[in-house]
Amino acid sequence: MQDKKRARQVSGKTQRFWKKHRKLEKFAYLLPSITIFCVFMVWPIVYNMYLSTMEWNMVSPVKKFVGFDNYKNVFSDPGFLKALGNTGLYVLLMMLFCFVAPYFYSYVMGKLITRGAKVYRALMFFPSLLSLAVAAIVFMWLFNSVSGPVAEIFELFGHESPHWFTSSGYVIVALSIATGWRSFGYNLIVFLGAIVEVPIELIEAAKLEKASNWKIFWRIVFPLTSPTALYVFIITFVMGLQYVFTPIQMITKGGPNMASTNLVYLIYQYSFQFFQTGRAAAVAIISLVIFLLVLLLQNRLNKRVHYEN
Amino acid sequence: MVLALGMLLSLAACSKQTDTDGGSDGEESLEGVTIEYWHINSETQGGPVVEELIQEFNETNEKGITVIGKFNANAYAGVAQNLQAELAIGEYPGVVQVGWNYLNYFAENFPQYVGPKRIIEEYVPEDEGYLEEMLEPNIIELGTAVNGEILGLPYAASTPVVFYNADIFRDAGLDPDNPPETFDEWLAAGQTIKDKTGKEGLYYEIIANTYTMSPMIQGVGAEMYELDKDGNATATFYTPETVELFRKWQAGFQNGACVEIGSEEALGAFAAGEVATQIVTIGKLAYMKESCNFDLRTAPFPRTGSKEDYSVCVGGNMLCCFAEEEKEIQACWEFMKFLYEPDSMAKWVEGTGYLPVTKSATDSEEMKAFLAENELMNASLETWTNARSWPSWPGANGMNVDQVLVDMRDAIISGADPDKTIKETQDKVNGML
Repeated sequence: MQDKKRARQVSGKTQRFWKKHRKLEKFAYLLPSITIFCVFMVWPIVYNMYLSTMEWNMVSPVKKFVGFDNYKNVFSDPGFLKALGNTGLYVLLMMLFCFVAPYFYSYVMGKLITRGAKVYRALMFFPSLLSLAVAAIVFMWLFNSVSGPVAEIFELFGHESPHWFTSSGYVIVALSIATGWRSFGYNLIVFLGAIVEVPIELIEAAKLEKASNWKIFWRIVFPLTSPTALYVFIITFVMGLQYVFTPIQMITKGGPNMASTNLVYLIYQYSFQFFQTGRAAAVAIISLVIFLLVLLLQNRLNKRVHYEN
Repeated sequence: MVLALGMLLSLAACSKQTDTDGGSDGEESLEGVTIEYWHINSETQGGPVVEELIQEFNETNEKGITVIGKFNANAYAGVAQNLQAELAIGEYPGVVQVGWNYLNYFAENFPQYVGPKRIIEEYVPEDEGYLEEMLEPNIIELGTAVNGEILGLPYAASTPVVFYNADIFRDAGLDPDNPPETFDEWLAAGQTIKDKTGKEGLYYEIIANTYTMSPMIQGVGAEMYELDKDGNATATFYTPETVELFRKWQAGFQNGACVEIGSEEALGAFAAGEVATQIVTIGKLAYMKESCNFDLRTAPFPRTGSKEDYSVCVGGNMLCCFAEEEKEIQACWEFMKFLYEPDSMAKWVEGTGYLPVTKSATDSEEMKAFLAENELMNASLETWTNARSWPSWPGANGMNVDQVLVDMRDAIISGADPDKTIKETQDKVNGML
């Protein structure tokens, strides 16, 4: 009996304590995530900023302060500008393969076709189960410009296959296709989830009014799925920056003559291949700034997005 | 994993204890001394034979030394990073495999190494003359850094060779028993193959390093770089001969004698019988034998210039000693000598596909039998006396220079003017050095 009483007293005390310190309570709830966020996000970024002002080869016990020299070197390096341009191209292509295409297919699968939707869904999602490394190898075989099946098809039409992985221009397309193929399915499922939520009555009503499929998509489906679209847009952007790293590393190592490198691969090369940690850190910070700009863009778009609740 | 770690820890603890005990026993005994052997040999790349050799050494060495094998992921870059972390806390591993192209990087950044010359002079004077007895002078040269010191004992070695498809040779009317020797002859053969069979002729590995490109340049008599009295390097590969070489090579691509595809693609196409040649490391031999269903042959690396300048690049690694205590250094030396014994060397060669580096290796019966069975290795062995170290660039930008050269090659292959590109690259490299 006494134990229970004491327990009540204690809990009463704690309740009073938390009532008094409302702000502290909020903070206590947030503490675990803030800790993790600081240790794994904030601290590395801060340390990275520090490293970007140093000349260091990753193994030497001495770091030399060089101020903004690393940034100057990076901006005057034509390789960096090339990587920046390539990154833009990758993002553009990934938008096509992993944003526009799955959006379109999910509409077709969710609202237009009636039979076999489940089969298509399974088939299209399947590549997402594979790792990017596997996708890279599969496409290396497919696109083998001498003995691969794609080359055979070109031959059927009397053309010579382009050298996908050794000619600039083609190489970005080939690597984006490999990455896109692997990541398409996931985005498709996300889109499909949003599209089946669109009330069928609206679409039926529009059909009665003889609205075209295109109009239905543009006027009904698109506005109602815009929150999801924004989410997929952002992750596709990130894919263009990060996912392509694996095929680059597996197939081309950034070549030929930097034609397939991107910002993330450049950071990797500077730090783990050339052991120029300061320069790598500088490129990383520049990339971070680019990410921030995209986040600002997202905020802008967010205001135009229609959230149901 | 946890279990293995636990065992390792307890072993280390034991060794520390017995180490201090053994100190009073006198100088001869190395009883209880434990060293680590850091290697990059994964399960598919000779890992089992490394374990076998370690076990054999632990069971048979009379001095009571224990060696613990430690695999380093991410190859030689991984070794460099792990070693830095280890040395930072004052720990010394023991014997470490260092890649050839990391030679100068290690010599500049890890002054803690104890080179074989110093080991012999300071710790085991009775082994005087060991290096010269075991190794040819050009092999000793492989382990010598820009500062003139020998960093380690050359251990793993491979050279590039030409693998070729004798069936395609016959189809094109070429004689597979007398393969071409010079670069020009190989280009001509490539052209013939392309014209007569429609298949691709000559394939030089297009890979993100200079393993096959450096010996081409050195072969025409140019040096990649030269050192002045103070040890400062200047790039010197821009010569009329180099320009001419690249012009010919470029023409080969334009005329169809050479094929421009990635190295992995090329391996697949070669195995499928679509490409007639592969100029890659002999280390691919096991893979080639497994995946090619045609009359597979090997020939020495193409000669780009005179016989005197002919050279091949050596890939692989050397054994470096990173130990602090006298007994540990002696233990490392004992283990390194064990790895150099003919029988150990034979096992190593068989288990990995590397070439035997020591003079005595070919004396072993096992090795003789192995080489008799593996005639295809001869093309690589023949060029062994022409082996030169893979140019390892000194300085903070050293590791970056290789990439700049790779970019130069790719630019020329895709049509850039050789003269202008090579000159610009040399200027750029000199700016970096």
